[in-house]
Formats: sequence, C-alpha cells, structure tokens
Amino acid sequence: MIEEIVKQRDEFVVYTNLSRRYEDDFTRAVAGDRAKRGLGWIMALARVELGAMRAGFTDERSPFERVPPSRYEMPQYTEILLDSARTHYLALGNDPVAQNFARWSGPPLTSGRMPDKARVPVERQAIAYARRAVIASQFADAVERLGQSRLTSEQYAQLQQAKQNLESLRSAIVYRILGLGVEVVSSTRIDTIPAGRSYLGMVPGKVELPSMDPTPAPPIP
Amino acid sequence: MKRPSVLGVCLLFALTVRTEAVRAESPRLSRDDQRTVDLITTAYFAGEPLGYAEPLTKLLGKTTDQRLAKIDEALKAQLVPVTAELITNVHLQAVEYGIEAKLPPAGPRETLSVLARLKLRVAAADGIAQDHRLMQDPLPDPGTLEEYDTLMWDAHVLETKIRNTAAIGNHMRRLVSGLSKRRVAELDAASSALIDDAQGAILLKLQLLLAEVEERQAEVRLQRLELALATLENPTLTTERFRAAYTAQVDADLLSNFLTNKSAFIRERLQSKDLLEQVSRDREKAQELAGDLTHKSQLLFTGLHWWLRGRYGKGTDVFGLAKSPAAMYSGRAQLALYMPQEFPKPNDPEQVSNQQQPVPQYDRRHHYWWAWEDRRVRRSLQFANEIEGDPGNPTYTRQPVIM
Repeated sequence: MIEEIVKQRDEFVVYTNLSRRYEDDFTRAVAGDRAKRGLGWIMALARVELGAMRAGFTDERSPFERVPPSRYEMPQYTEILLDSARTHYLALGNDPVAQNFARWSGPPLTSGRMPDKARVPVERQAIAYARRAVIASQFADAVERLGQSRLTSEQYAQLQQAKQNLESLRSAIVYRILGLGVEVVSSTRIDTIPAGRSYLGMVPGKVELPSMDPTPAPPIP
Repeated sequence: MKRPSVLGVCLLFALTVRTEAVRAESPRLSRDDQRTVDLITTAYFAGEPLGYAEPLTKLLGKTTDQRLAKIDEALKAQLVPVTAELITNVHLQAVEYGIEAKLPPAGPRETLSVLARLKLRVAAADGIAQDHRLMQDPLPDPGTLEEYDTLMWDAHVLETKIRNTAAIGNHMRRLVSGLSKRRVAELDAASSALIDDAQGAILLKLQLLLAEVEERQAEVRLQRLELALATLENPTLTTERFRAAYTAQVDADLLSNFLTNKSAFIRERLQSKDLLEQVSRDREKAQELAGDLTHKSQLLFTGLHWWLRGRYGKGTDVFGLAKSPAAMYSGRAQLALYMPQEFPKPNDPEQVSNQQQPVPQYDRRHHYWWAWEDRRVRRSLQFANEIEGDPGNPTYTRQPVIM
C-alpha cells in the first residue's frame, strides 16, 4: 500500500541509467524503462545523494557506508550507485580539462607563492577537479565494497584500473598542478588501457581517461 | 555518433565564457566604475545577491544618472541585469532571510528605485491571489484525500507567497522611514504617491489579504478533517485510510494552533465558539480509529516531504545548489528553499532538449556541485527568471513550512 502511494505520484519518479549518455552506440546499454517508481527507488536515491555529500564535503573514509541501504532497497541502491559511479568516471574520461590536468608537465601553479592573476582561474578549476576526482573515487570504492563477493575477477581488475586512473588524476592535480607537497607514489601510471568494457563502463581508449601521459601541457588559457 | 561532451553534463559556461567579443561592446568606464562593475559581475555570477549589496549601494548613493546609464550598459554587455534590478534582488533576498537590518543604509535613489519595483511585485502577488481557486466561493471541496493533497499544496504556496509579499510591504515601509522629510518634500507627484502607498496602504492591504488566505485555508482543513474522519470509520486498509490517518492529525494540530492564536475571524464558520473543542475531539477520535497507522503514516509522509525538498528544492545561491551563507546564522535562511508551485513531473534527462527545463533541475546533485568551486554552473535565462524574474509568473516559490 505504501508502494502504491509512492508509485501513483509522478513527482516520485526517478530516472536511472544516466551514464548511458556517455557511452557510444556500441557499448550503450539497452534503454529499457528508465522511469522508476516505488519506495525503494526514492530511498536508494536519497542514500546515494547523502553518501555523495559526505564524500564531497567531509574527510570520512567510507562516506557511503554511514548511510547503508536496508535489504528492502538494496537492488535499487546498487543500480543507482553503480550508475552514478559510471557517470562520474565516463564524464571525466570525456572531459578535455581533465585530460589537460592529467598530462600536466609544467611547473606547479602555486609552488610556495600566490598564483598570478592569469593563473587564478586555472587554480580554482584544478581544485574543483580534484574534488571531482575524489568524489568519483569514493563512488568507485563504494561500488567495490558493495560488490565484494559478487564481482568476477575480470570486473575486479577493471574496477581497480578505473580507480588507478582516478587516483592518477587526483595525484596530478594535487602534486603537480597545485604543488601541495611531493608526489611520492608514481606507480599508478597507466600507459595502456585494455580495450573493452569495464565494470564501470567502457574503458576509454581514444578519449584517454586521466593517465600520466608526460606530453607537454597546453598553454594556460 | 558524436560523443556528448562532459561540458554538457557539468553545465559549464558562465564566467569564463563571457567572451571578449561581449566585452568589446561595453562602454569605456573610469577605473573605479570598472572595478565596481567587476565586483558586481563576479558576485552576480557566483549567484550571491548579498555579495554585491555594498558596492551597489555605494554606487547608487553617489553617482549621476548619466554615469549610471553607462554602468548599466556595461553590465548588460556582460549579460548581467541593470543596477535597479540587481539592488531589488538584494533587498528581496534580505527580506526573505529576515536580515534587512544588515543591509547598508539605502540612499534616496536606491529607495525609490527599489520601492517602484517592489510595488510591481506586490501587485503581481495580489493578482495571483485574486485568481486562485482557494479565493473562490464556494470553497473547493475535492472528493478524495489524494485530490486534497494538490489543493493543500496550492493553498500553501499561495499563503507563502502572500506572507512573503507582506514581508516585502513591511520592508517598503521601513525603507520610506529612512528618507528625510526634506527629501520627501522635494519629490515629484508620482514619487510622492509611491511613498504614500509604501508608508501604509500596501502593507495594510497585504495583511488583510493574508488573513483571508489563512482563514480560507483553515476552513479547507476543516473540510479535509471531516473527510478523513469519515474515511477512518471504514476499517478496510486502503491508501485513502492511510492518508486519513496522517492528514487528520496534521489538520487537527494546525487548526488548534490557528484557532488558539487568533482572537477574531472574518469567516463565519470559524466564528463558532466550540470549534476549538470540536477539533480537539475530532483529533482524539481520529487517533482512536487509526490506531498505529497514525505513527506509521507520519513516518512515511514526513519522509516524503523531506525527500521532495531534497529532490526539487533550490537554494538561492550557486544556481539552486546551495543556500545563502545567511543560513549559518538565520533559521529562516536555513529552512527557506525555492519549491515548485505545482507538483513537479520529472522528465527524462536523456530526452530533454536544450530549450527545455530539466525537471528536477539537477538529475543527481552530486553530478554538479563539485563544479561550484569554479563557478561554472550554467546560468540559463529560464533559471534566472525563476529566481529573480517576473513575480507574476515564477515556476518556483519558497516553501519553508511543512505541509
């Protein structure tokens, strides 16, 4: 009956599979009915949004686990969490700004001094992208923890690949662009990305998800 | 197929995309004026009206009409509203948060400019009230509790609008009190008439209107309480019975509060002496009939209410993604949100064209709010209108009260 109350009202419709718009025709999942109705969907969405807020604005290590799903909405939660992780990951992979940051080889913007006026917007953007990479990583971590026993070894490897790519981007921004300390770990460099579909979605080939490609950075706008 | 750019989903543009071509059309300004325009523009694109309050007030206090026209032109060239519109937004936001006292003191030019625009808002709100179904006789009387949901939402939206407008009327009177008698005596006939209205007539009219809206809303609640009681008499568990368990308690509580805190009523039905007692008896009877459904229904509908706020509510800053910094010290600012005036119907994010407004504005908030750090969330015209535009036709209104 509660389900009926929620289902009969349009305002509680939740659209899913939003990552679909970042996939090409070959990898795109079949559309299906993306308009979902029911208590499980709205609870799942609320939990994912709340977890994401914690991921973005706190330093909690497991932000999504502070608001875990009940068994009731677990299937919906899994779908929305995975879709969100895919969206963040694929969107970053398609973002030329993220690519520029990942390839950054110039001197840090703020190594011990205030950036000059022209570089302030770039610095601001770099901070935003660092936050974005952290959020995407937290989503990938949450997917990993949620799917622990259910991931195949191939899916697990793909997920690790995605996490490494995201960590590379974050590391490039924090250390090489913002100059916030010394980059100690450099073993996350990804030179080749296997073609095919990862657990999070298509592993970008041409579009190159953040890698540590040492080509010179383009001029700062 | 062309791969959609991530810039699309992140709604990038705004500041950095205000092109040099646009700048080229700007008039030449003095260094001081250019600095003021830059300050205002930055705060405007950051979505923070209170951020440009001080430079604007200072500017309006000392400038000439000719100089102001050039500044307005420069702002328009950067797709920023003109100074009169901006300063009105500043006052409106301060009123909404109850922080008018924190505004820098307005000079005569600012006062007259803001009063003229606020008066238009008041007239628009009055027009909406007169056409509203709650204000028609006989009162609307839907047949089911589900249909009552929509009516109560509409009534609540109207009440909030008129309450906010009455606060504007109050602010208008306060603004007038800041003008010196000598300055008022120098005004032309039109400005004098505006000052006269702002001094009392506008506020009085709004207070009467608000009283009528509140009473009509209370009467509709009485109707709904009767329907809920009748529904609860039938022990079969239905969605209507579940709703009745919730609405009976909400209506009885709100009515008790309303009837206790007011001493005189315009509407006949509310003048009955034993009405308060009757409501109290109805509340107990409803609870008895509903049993544990009362608590269960409260959990569900309260949760749904807060879910709706989270899904469709828009803060005033960063294009709906954030609340004002005033929320740190003002309870009103913390609770205030822009909410749809009608129950929203979400649309498929993949099917929404560039010309359409996505519903909700943000399909997932976490897809967007990382971008506010570099203020690159798109500022679409439609969205700007919802927040700052014509009060006669906004899509959104503030809903700070639980229904």
